Amino acid sequence: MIKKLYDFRQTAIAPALLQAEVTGEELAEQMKQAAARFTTISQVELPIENGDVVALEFADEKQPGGVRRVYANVGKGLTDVEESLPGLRTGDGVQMVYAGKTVEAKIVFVKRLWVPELDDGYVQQLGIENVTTVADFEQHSFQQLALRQRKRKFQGIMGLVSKAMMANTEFAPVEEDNAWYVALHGSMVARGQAYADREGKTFEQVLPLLVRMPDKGLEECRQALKQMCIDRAKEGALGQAYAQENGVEFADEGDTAALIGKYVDYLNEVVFNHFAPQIEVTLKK
Amino acid sequence: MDKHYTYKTQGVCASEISFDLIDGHVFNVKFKGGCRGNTQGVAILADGLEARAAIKRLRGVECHGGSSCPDQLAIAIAECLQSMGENV
Repeated sequence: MIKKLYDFRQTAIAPALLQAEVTGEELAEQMKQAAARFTTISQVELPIENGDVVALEFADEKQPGGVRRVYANVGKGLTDVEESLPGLRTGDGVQMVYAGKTVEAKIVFVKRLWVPELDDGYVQQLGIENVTTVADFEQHSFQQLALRQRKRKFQGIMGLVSKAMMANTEFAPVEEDNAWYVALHGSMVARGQAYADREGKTFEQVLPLLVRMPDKGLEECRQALKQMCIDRAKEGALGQAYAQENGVEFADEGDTAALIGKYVDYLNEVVFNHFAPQIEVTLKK
Repeated sequence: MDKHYTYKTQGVCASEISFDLIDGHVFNVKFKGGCRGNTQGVAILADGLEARAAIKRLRGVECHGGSSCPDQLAIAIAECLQSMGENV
């Protein structure tokens, strides 16, 4: 099936795909998220600020005890009352609209979130192997962001590799007795024949419908169908060949689509492992 | 008692969920990963909900035939309540 297998490592990769950067802001955000794990919440007797959670109560005879309590997450923009709260304190009154009515509410508590400064002690609580200091964690966070960047760049690299592989691999002529071709072509012919019988038409009349190219001529349809089968067979064969070269199991399950799916997964892994270390990721402060 | 809680998800696209449980209500829900718009929407809608009401609403929501980000949020809230000694 394959006369000469193209070595994907020869693929010319555009320099822009081998360079990526992580910004200082992204790294700081990653560190901030880690520190947020150790957030504590406490009641404060201070003027309300954005980020505070405030409980308000107002008279409502429908409620047990005649009082309804509502909450405002100040600064989130989820409730109208939030805007009038900054600067007020526990015990202060405020007008708010509830269920279409203006009510006089009283602030019953203000709770504030405290995010600590990340130090070595907190870093150790994260439980990451070999990461015990803030410096270690910064490096670890950078590596995680760098991997994300490499995966992004890899999408472009994989596109180039796929094209190069199909263009440069030398295939033996795909004969009509090829297993994949026959299986795929055979199943379409059988389906087409059954459909034609049901509709009282000839196979030639329904063939354009099968290949979803109603405006093309019959011969063109035949060729399109054949080419589609050949392409799929080639893709499957490429997967088989690469698996053999690399000693990886790549079984023919008799299902062309599944075989190609396996090939794509396999090739992604092999190509990523080869090119990812070549993608230079720098930190842009 | 109030608590900031972080939960590692299982079987969904988002890898982590964090939120604050204040006075028995859920605030500041954040999903790490997952479909950005959908998880942001769930987070906003859940903000201020009574914890048990949130569990009732979100528990059992399915995605791809299994658990989902909302379902995982419900599990996280239940786990948080249990860690505070409450029966869920």
